[in-house]
Amino acid sequence: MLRYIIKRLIYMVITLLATVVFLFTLMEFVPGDPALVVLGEGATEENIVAIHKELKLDDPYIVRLTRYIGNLIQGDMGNSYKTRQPIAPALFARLPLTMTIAVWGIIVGTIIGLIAGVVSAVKQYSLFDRILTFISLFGASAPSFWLAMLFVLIFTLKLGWLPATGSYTLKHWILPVATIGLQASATITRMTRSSMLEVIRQDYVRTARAKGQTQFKVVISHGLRNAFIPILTVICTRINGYLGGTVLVESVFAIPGLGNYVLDGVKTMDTPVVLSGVVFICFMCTIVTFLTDMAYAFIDPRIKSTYGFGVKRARKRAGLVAKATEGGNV
Amino acid sequence: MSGYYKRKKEYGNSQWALVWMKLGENKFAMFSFWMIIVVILIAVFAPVLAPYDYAAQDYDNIMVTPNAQHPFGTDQFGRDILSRIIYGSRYTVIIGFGTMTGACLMGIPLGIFAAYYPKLDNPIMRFLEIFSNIPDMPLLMCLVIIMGTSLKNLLICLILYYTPSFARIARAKVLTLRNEEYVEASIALGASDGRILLHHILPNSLAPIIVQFTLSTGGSILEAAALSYIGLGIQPPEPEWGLMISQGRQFLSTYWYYSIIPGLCIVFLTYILNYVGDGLRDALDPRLNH
Repeated sequence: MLRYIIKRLIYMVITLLATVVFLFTLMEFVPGDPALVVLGEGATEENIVAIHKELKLDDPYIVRLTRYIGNLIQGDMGNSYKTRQPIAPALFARLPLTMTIAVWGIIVGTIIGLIAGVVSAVKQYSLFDRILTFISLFGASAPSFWLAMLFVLIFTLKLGWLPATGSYTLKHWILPVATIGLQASATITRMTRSSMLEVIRQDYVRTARAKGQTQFKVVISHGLRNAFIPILTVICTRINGYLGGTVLVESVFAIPGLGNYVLDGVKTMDTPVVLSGVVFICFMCTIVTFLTDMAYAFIDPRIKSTYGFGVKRARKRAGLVAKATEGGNV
Repeated sequence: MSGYYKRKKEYGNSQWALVWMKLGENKFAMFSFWMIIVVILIAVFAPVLAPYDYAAQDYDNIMVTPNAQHPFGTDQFGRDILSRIIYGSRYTVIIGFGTMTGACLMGIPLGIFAAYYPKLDNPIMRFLEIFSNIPDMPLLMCLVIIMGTSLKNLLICLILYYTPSFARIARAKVLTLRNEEYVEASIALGASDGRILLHHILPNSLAPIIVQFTLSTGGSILEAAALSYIGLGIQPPEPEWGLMISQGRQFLSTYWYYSIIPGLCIVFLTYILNYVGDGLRDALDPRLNH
């Protein structure tokens, strides 16, 4: 197990490093002079030169890249061009908000999705299955911001039960979490259903039935456990998607989360904010992926025994199915 | 044509005819397929079908509720929402199918080369992996900040975003095909790589790609609408559906048709695309026949 963990850790660091280099390089192509973003309109020639000197913008690309990575390792994510404030504290201040919506949304979505998917697969072609298939395809087809607005329209404006904006009390969290949860449950239901349908026809499930196992145990221990790897992959991609993708839900409910911070950076051409914000989101995603890899090993001991080679294969296989069933993820 | 019937008599239906028949068994998938064609036709013939010009402002009829003259009502400038939706379908169709065509053209060759030439496998796939490691919205936001907002740039961003998924699928399929006997037979016959790839590998790897094409079209429509919604996609005053939802947001309490109707259009189009994709997957993949 230790070798497996170490192997995944090394892989994680390399991926993260490559992502940082890639994003940094990408940001090189942002048009316009950063000094103009710092100074705003009407900057004089001297000021521009001074800013270039202060921010060391004229250094070669490699020097700036290594400096950025060096600072990153020490936890310094640079300063915003617009506000001249350090970025890292701002990101950490916003992280809890995004995490709350994403994590609770995923938990709600997973619970609903697993139950709905399993029932749907066991009772295939029943009325219940058809209704669930319709709802889950609807959830996968609806844009999250539109769904959020629909909720606001119904529960805030028409019924007046829940507040629409802000993040002060538990009541404020219900609508954002419900939006994410419904969407996440849609993809998870679809994946669970198709994965379970594949497993439930296997010989070992028939054997379990033949030896007189109860229906519940057959479905859960023999069926769901074997069908769980692709489902877990979908859950992982969903969490990753929502860490960066809650920007839509955040903007409907006016929640100042990570996504909104990066979005403001994009709108004001504040490159360091965008770069560090996205690097931070990728960092969170890599951790989630790492934890998922660990969970794979727990669910399927075969993966552990091959020291990670099986993970790649299983994930590729699972990833393929996941990609094919993913309707939309916005 | 006679050659076709002769072949049909000798060998039975072709694989694609069988798939088509199988899809036909699924009535709603067939209905969805024809609805997609209808939406494309609406987009093509928008100027003929739209009752008003999408930009025509009419300050006597501001924000009227749906009636016979304006079936979906009008917006805050008195522009007919139905006409704007009809014209907006052009953006949606161009973005949806344009993105997928572009992503196919870029992704499939990459995937095929990665699988067919083992030396290229690592560099190509590792590079694409970096792309797919970044979640969708942050990656798209990064690309938008570089390129700026316009229809062309939006298309490029989405194509770049969807390329890795096509490359991955093509690669996985080609990896299984590479060891097929008919490929080995053509290598033995001295066929060039180009011929093998074009005549044997590509046609046989189309099935999962077509499924991915249909399913991702819906996805790209949603991504484009999302980008327009947060102001990084199509810019006003163009009648894009995601943008219309965003514009109607401030009137949600008094005049909800404005945002809800374009949203329903997106849901409808994405739903039928996903449904056809699901149906195609079931028809193309005999393993999943449940």
